[in-house]
Amino acid sequence: MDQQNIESRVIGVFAEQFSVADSAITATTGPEEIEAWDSLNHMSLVAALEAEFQTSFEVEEIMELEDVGATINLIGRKVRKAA
Amino acid sequence: MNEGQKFLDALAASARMMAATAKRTCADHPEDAAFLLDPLARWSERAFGDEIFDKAAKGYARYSLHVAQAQKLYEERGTYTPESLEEIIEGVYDDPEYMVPYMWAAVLIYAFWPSMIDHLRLYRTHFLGRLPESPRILELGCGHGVLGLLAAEHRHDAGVRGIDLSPSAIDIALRLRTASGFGERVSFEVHDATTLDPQSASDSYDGIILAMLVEHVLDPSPLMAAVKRNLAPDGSVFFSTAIESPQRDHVFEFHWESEVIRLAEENGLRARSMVSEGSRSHPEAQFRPRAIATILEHT
Repeated sequence: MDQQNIESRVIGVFAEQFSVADSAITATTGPEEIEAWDSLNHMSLVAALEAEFQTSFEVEEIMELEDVGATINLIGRKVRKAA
Repeated sequence: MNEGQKFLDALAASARMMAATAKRTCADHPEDAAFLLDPLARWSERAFGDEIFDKAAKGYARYSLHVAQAQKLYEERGTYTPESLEEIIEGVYDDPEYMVPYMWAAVLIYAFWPSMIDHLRLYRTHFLGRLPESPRILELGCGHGVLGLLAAEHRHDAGVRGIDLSPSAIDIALRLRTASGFGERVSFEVHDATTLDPQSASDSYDGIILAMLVEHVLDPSPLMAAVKRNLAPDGSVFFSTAIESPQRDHVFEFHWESEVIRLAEENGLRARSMVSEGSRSHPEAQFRPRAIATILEHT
């Protein structure tokens, strides 16, 4: 799975979870830009990412997912590690 | 807000996804947020050093994630799924590694959660603000002791006694008390609230705090009975609890505000005022986690 593929799938998950257009999401998009991104919806986001990428996150990793770019980077590391 | 801003700054640095909601809640309720966070920041920094803000923020963030996970499980299973009471005592109340971050979270949610900040206003205006001169205040299950210390901070004529079963919680409370300088007016001790009995008719309290405690016990009635026994004839109670709000150590499940009020009424107390607020929930969720706070008096 290449980086571009990961990026587009992560953005797709964010767009679906928070009901926004893919085009509204960039690597720097964070909770300040998405009002619905609170702790409860963060866990929904985590569950959706786990299903999309067939992976699971530790609590420390869940805390790392603080914007779209960090999410892409972490999933990239996990996918490469699993390969 | 002045010194209290340090808690928000630490949260923004260590858990960005939690910071936006917390910041909005504080901005929408500046007086209530400052009422708690400004003195708490002063006491915490004196007691534990400036690294406490980062530790408190991380404790709060982990706690919030665990609550969110518990709510998802609750939706799936339809009932609270606590561990056994023995496991909770060993793994939560008697374990400082778990209990200390939990204590910081338990106090910060008052300012950071939209469902909790109204409790601060009720506590400040309808409880502390209406107690008689030189009030004697008792807090059952005081935990971190911050509500009692806030009473001493904002009522310079008040004397406060706090009791809790957890030695880890009382240790935090005592350190904050030392930092607050209220040692002569505030005491904290390890004690079982349900066994507390007034020694004489004059040995009663003008104000009793029973905040976010009864959801942690299998049978809340003995705690409410202890409130009734120890309350002065014209006394007031600040009583709060969780409704449809699962957590690792929540064992008593309330579904309705009426159940909470009935618990008070069955023990000879009636509600004088109250607030109940639900936190954000998924539109299709069957449960609406919320927290109720009431001011009680003798019937």
